[in-house]
Amino acid sequence: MAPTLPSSDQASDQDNWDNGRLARKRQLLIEIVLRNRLTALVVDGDTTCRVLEQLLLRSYGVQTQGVDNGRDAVALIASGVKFDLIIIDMILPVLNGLEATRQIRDMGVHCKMLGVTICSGESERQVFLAAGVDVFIEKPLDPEHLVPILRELDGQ
Amino acid sequence: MAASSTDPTQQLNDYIRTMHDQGILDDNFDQLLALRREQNPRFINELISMFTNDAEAYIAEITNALSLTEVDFSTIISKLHQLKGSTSGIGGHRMYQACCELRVAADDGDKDRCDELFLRVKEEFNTLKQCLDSISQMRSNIISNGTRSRRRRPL
Repeated sequence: MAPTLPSSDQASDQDNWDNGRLARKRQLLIEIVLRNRLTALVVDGDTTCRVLEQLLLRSYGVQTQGVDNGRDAVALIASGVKFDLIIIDMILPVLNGLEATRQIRDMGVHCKMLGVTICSGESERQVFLAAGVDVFIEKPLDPEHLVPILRELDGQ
Repeated sequence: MAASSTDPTQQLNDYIRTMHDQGILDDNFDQLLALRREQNPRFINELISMFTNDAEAYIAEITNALSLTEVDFSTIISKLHQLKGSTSGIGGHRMYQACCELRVAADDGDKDRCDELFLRVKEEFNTLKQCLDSISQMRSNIISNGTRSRRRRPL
């Protein structure tokens, strides 16, 4: 006899393997409903990372744009496009994330900036924070770090 | 009623669990699976394809940088950064660990150690690629079977 189809909003018994790890991940993905339409810019030189971060943000209803280098990120901001959130990697092609962050802050942009990068030590973290990111997050970007920030931006 | 071991979805679940047990995949792969409900059915397969194509390109660039008379450690570090990022995103645990070790050697400017550790990165990539290709194939079979996939939702 075939098993019944699980609700699309619930994890099936089959999904809840290994101490419900997958179920917990899914719960976080439906945990919040944003009242406002937030916008985010994702700056990452790696396609997989950029796509994943944009998909995660879109799963919460955040409208996203992605660029693959620091120069294009600075140019986009300089053109007047505004974002509620900028997610930026440290090492980027053309113009690195540290310099791009400094230039964005020097333009008077005060939006939330998350430095999401592969961390190689405390010194890198401090350097990125000193450049102007508000939060340093080690890759990959995950709901546990992102959800509280989205709530804050949404005024929840 | 317990699922049959010949059930394709159960086989896929079991395979992913085994990959976790062997340390080839980690929780970050689970995060992808959790995301896929929001996306098209082939999202995971497309992402896997994206990752493997990019990873092969990074590995080719690192190979070239290591082969130079004056090893280009700066390029190695830069490409390794991107490779580590995408590997962590896809949940390739063992490959990520191998990349971390190579990064240390590159930071030290130690060519011999880089050569040795880069071999391990490539081995782990081949293992991860085979794993992801198997997952892609199993998911494609489930999706193309259509009716059976609606009865027991695949990972």
